Amino acid sequence: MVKFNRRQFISLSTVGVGAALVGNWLRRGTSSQLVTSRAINSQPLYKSSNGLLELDLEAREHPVNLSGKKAHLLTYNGQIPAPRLEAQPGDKVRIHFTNNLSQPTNLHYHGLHISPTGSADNVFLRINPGEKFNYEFDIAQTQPAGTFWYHPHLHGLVAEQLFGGLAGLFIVRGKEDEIPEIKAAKEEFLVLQDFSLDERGRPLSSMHMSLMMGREGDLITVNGQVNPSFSLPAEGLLRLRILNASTSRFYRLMIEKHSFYQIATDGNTLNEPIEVRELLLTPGQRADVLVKADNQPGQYRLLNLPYDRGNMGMMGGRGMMGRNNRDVPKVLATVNYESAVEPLSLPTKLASISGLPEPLTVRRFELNHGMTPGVGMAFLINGEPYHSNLIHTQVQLDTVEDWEITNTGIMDHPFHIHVNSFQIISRNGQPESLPAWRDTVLVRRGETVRIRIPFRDFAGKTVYHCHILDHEDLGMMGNLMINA
Amino acid sequence: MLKLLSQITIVSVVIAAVVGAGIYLTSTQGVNKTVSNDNSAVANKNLASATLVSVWDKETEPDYLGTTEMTVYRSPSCGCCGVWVEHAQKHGFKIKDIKTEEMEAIKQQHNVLAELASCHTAIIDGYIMEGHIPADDIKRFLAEKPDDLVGLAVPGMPIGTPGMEARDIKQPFQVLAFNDKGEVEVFKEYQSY
Repeated sequence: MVKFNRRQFISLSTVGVGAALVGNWLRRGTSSQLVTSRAINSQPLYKSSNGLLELDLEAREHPVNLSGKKAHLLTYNGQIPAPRLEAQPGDKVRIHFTNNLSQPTNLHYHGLHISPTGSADNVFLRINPGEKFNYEFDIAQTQPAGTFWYHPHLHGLVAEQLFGGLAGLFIVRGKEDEIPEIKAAKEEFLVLQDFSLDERGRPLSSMHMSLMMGREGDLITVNGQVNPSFSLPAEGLLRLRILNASTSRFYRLMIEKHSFYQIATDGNTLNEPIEVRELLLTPGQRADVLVKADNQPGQYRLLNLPYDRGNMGMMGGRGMMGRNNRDVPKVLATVNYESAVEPLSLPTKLASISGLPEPLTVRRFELNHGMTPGVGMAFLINGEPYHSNLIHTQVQLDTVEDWEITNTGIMDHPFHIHVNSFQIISRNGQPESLPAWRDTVLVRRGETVRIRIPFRDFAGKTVYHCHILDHEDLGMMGNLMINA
Repeated sequence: MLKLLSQITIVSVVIAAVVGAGIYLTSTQGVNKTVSNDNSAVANKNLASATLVSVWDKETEPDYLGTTEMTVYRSPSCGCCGVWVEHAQKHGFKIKDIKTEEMEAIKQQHNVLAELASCHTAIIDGYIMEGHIPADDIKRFLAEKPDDLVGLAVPGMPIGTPGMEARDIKQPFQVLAFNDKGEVEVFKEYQSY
């Protein structure tokens, strides 16, 4: 080791001072009070009828009561989270959208298999402040029922607008909901969002957030509430439909003394329930789970366990400031049941997911970040930052491809593809055993994930990107042209 | 000399900046394209290939007569550290550029608190210069040679700092001076630049 010519006046006591500083952050992070207010089911809802889901949707800044705190957030129709939309396969959807934000915006229908063009899932639309746009599209008869969602997707502003609160569920009801055990279970929706508010209750400006890591807020809400309570019915089966609508925060979920029986990944029904103790949800991902009341009556906490999505290289075990909450489990919600119940049996057969044919085409994508000429610091796919004028990848409609996505960086990246869902084939060469459809897959640092994706039904230009939305805004996105 | 702020005061300053501390950037040269078809672009690729001109390039301390020999420790894979080294060289510093995988050990050895940490650590004239500090501030600091302070730091990697330029994003940041007790004060603040 090199010896330095320097004065020896730094004492080891500085380490202790550092720890005291960390303490301040910790207190900040846990200062939000425990409130359980209005009933969960009072969430606003728009349902289709006679084959049509039609509504007015206005994006605007609006004061909301965020668990007892007055907050000025970005909302759809004044609501945090946004109104839940429900439709069925075969329905027409008409959304009369008004942008009353101070920035341009648009809508993305995350997970829906609809056209990426025109007035459907068109992320290239730019709806300026004060402008209106009528979204109109058909949900195909073949659209599987599931938990999907909608949020803004105008490149460069996505993270800021989601962090302001703009996100809502888009539920497709279908035959999967008619499975007797699922139908009998009590259904609850959990929209996970995190916020960081200044003293006036406004979201902290992007300029004060860590965009490199991806912004995280210290106020975590479930349906706009801190630690809401969910009760299990006498039948003893609870169906939780969970959405991670945070811009960057990962959730590693666990319920005390209970297992999750996962029945859907990203809204797509599994072949059979899978028992898991923990559930990792990256931004953009959804999970549908059943919870059985198979313990003593009481209250059980839904916890968010620590997860390290990038250890910052050289800082190693010393911990990163502002992210110290990853060391402590946080209570997100409480599940309770009053009396001993006889839980319903779990369903055994849910769906039949079949494998896809071996593709002719294999593409490779490398996720990383670095300096690029003309752009500077950027997040990159195959060494290039996003550019709106380029077509980064061209595929042929009605073909199947394998995409091998490698993360050579030092942070985890959840990779999301619009319009078409895919199956995971392998991780680091190890075959994936669970047959499942997804639209967002976690590619951990150092990992290679191979996915198989069929391009079906819809031609046109769309995108794939990292769903840590600051990374997406900073360039980790590509244009995908699906040629007819 | 400058007045030391309480630790609590700096919490809000540091919280934004430090969250990303220590991310170092890996260049993505040499993507191994052994695939049947690569992702060729159809549109014009010759966009904006001009080098990014940094707002930090202008000379603001022309009369600096202090030490110019600086040792910079950085990870071999740190791209933005290299850009910062170029920035420092442009301003007349002679850099001994040491690439090491032992950045954590280097920071521990120099008692760079985790709250102050960035990617690279530089040593000049016995002082610690942590992260993406504008060269001009280093000169101003060394001209004063404060004996109650041990160095400067720009915690984390705020976008827009020297070596961290990205498009037109300019995150406000503060250059913090720190002493051997772990106390910190604001040496210079950049709100817009």
